[in-house]
Amino acid sequence: DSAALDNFLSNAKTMKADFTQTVVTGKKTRTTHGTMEIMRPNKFRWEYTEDKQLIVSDASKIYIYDQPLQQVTVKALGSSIDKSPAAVLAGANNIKSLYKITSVADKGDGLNWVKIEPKAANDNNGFQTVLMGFDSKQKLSSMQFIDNFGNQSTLKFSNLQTGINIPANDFKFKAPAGVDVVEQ
Amino acid sequence: CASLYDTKVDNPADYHKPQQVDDNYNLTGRFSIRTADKNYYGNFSWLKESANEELDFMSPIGSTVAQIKIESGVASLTDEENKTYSGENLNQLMQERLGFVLPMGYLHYWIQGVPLPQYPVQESLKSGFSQLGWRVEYLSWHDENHPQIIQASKDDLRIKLLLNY
Repeated sequence: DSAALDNFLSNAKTMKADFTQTVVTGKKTRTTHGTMEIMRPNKFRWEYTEDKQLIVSDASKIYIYDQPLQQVTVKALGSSIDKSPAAVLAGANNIKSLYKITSVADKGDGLNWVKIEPKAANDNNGFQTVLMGFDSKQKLSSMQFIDNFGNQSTLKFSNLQTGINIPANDFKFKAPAGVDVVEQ
Repeated sequence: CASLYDTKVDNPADYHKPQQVDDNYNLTGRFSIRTADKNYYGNFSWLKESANEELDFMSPIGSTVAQIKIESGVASLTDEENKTYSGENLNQLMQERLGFVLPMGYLHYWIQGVPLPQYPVQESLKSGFSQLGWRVEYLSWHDENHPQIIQASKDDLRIKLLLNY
């Protein structure tokens, strides 16, 4: 049922967690790690440790800093391209108006899974299916995304804290000197 | 996350030609493609098994935005709305549908650190070589035989690929 989701939405105005992300594309599975911070609505900080990539949304723009490529890509938040777990989580307060929510059969992993599907047919923001898995204490434990090409990515959260104080500066971004800043 | 900000990028190592080159590979990585007027950035996954290939372009955090498939020489491209286009000329398909052309045939070799064997190297550069009118430079190496960041540029097209290992 979506009680877990409602409960989560109501008291998770801010959240912070470590995550493991596993992406399956074609015949390749790749796992990366990172940390995330979210302040709803629409502010998030999503950092990939090994890949040295930082994604920050200040609620109007998304900045993607790719340190190895020495580049910052800047996108408008509303642009259709911001199809991401972070955007779904951070924008979630209107989740009930934008998405159809159905509970999903037990996966035997002890989590209570809920499926959210965009109501507007064409606005599936690139994801065919988004699943959110809650633990027995109704805490968000995992998310699954399947995109239009059948590629699947799974996020597992640990050390999740909600309703905590996160410094506003964490959702601001200033490009380091010497890197390319490109608008997309 | 101070480490992310102040990590200095050292200048590229001198070019050396890796020894072995594979006909098949299964790579993931990130791309940054700049044309005269636009920029494209995201993740990619590239599977090549002799004459069959699948190249997925993904948005920075995961959803696939386009897919190129080559099955024994016949290419098709599927875009974000899941519409599929096919035809002989893959470069034309890419230009029309994606806005840029990725010279996949050339990159088969260049992403492995070597020039195409059947064409001359026009000039050897400190960090790479020029061939077929392209400047191919290796900004960093994963190890002796495997480049990590490849930059291929020609006229106003600049392609940067970072390979995950």
